[in-house]
Amino acid sequence: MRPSPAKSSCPERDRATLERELVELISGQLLDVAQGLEVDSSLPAAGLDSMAIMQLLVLIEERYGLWLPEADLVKENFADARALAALLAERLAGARNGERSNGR
Amino acid sequence: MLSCDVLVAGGGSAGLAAAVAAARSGARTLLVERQGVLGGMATSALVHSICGLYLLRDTPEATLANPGFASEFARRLIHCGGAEGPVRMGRVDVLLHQPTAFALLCDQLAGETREIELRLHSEVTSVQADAEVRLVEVSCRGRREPIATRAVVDASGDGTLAALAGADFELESAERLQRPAFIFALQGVAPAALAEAGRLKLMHRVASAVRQGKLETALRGASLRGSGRPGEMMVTIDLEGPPGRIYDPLDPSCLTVLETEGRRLATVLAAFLRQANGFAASSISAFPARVGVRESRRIVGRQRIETADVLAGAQPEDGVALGTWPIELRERTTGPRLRFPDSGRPYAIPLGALRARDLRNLFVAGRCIAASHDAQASARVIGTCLATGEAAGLAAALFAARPAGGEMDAAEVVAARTRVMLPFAERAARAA
Repeated sequence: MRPSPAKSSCPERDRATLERELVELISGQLLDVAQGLEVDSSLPAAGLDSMAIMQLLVLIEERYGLWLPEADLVKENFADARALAALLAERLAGARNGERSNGR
Repeated sequence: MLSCDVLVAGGGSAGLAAAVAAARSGARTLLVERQGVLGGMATSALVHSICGLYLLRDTPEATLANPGFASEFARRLIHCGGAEGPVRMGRVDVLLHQPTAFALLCDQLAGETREIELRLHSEVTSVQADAEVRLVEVSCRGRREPIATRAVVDASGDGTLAALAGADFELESAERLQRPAFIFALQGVAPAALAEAGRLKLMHRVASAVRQGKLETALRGASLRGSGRPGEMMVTIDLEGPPGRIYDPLDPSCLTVLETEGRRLATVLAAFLRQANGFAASSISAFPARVGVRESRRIVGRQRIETADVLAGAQPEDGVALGTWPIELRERTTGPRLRFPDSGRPYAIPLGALRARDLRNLFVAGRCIAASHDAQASARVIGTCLATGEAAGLAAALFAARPAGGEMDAAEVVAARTRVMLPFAERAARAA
């Protein structure tokens, strides 16, 4: 059981936890990269293609209860775990603040 | 009674390669295929990409991994306009092909290779064997014919001939068996909707609909790709198997459910997609002749490709073919889980993994070779089948040419490939 992201008001701490968790998620369930995936390793170079992105969306939903909308499916957001964590941090904060996450 | 030097059971990519290699070596070769078309999964199951042809790379250019028949086939398929690539997908390179062109090239190769006798609509139904396979019964629509042969290559995918001969095999537990793919073709798709850029959005749309309960869960992992032909899109659904029942790809009632469920789900998905931009006039143009089973029996060989071999890029001395594809596990239907080798190096498949432990003259090629479950998830791809098929065919021909059959080493197989197969691959390279 992994601890859920720290519900702190400090975005940096949430971010680091998210980054680590995403790396574990991706390298545990999608792409087994022996050298080890780092937070700024290029995800496309590690093999993240369209199909893998879709699987990742499903895993993110299972883990964080967040379904990323179509508008978030841009290359920049999936460049590395750092970029993706930044996106998730924003979306999760939005969800906490009562914004409805776009279910489309 | 009919007799031959080498009987190849199964006319998929591995079987065709084995037959061509054996025949070019001078063996009188009978190629037996139960469908009406050669090519196996690359035609009958509408698989439309050839994986495992190219080495993993950090360099700008893709390099063909296996220099003989695999290279010849790829070059000829590209040259006749039947394939496009190499195309980069994530960290790998694949060749996108047209199943119709694949089928035609198989016919051409079988037809132009003198010592091949091709028997379509024919299936191996029984085998007489002691320490060797002696007689193979081949049946077509109630007519059964015993055939005497000096050597056999089981390229049946399911290890059918080997099992009938009483050879030992491995079969993974139902929960862990790779799930099969149901692939179909959509026509009437608008050009804009076929573009690569729209793929992810389409897949997102499907997954979102599943999430909202508007589409069956079974469709969550559906993937789509433009086929390269005007208005045509290929759609792939991984199937879980009959609900509430054990998944068994060797059980006809399970296979029956896979086929009918596949067609039903395809119809549901096609109807859903018609709501998307550019799909209003689309419809299913072709169902596959069969569902694409990825894994069933793995024959017990003199050696076995281990998971660690794949991950380490092991290169044993008796290697006769190179495997380059990552371990692609499809135990779940939400998409593949990939494990890449540590160094990006290919692994060499030893001759012993292509020889049945229990029968001296039984060679194995394709997705039923001796490998661990995870290693098979790498070695089963068509590009590797073309190479293991060639090696098995060359070895079988060597066996058949010796009065007492017997042993040959990998070096002889490699030498035979250089002598017998490379000239054709080089000719294909020059013609390109």
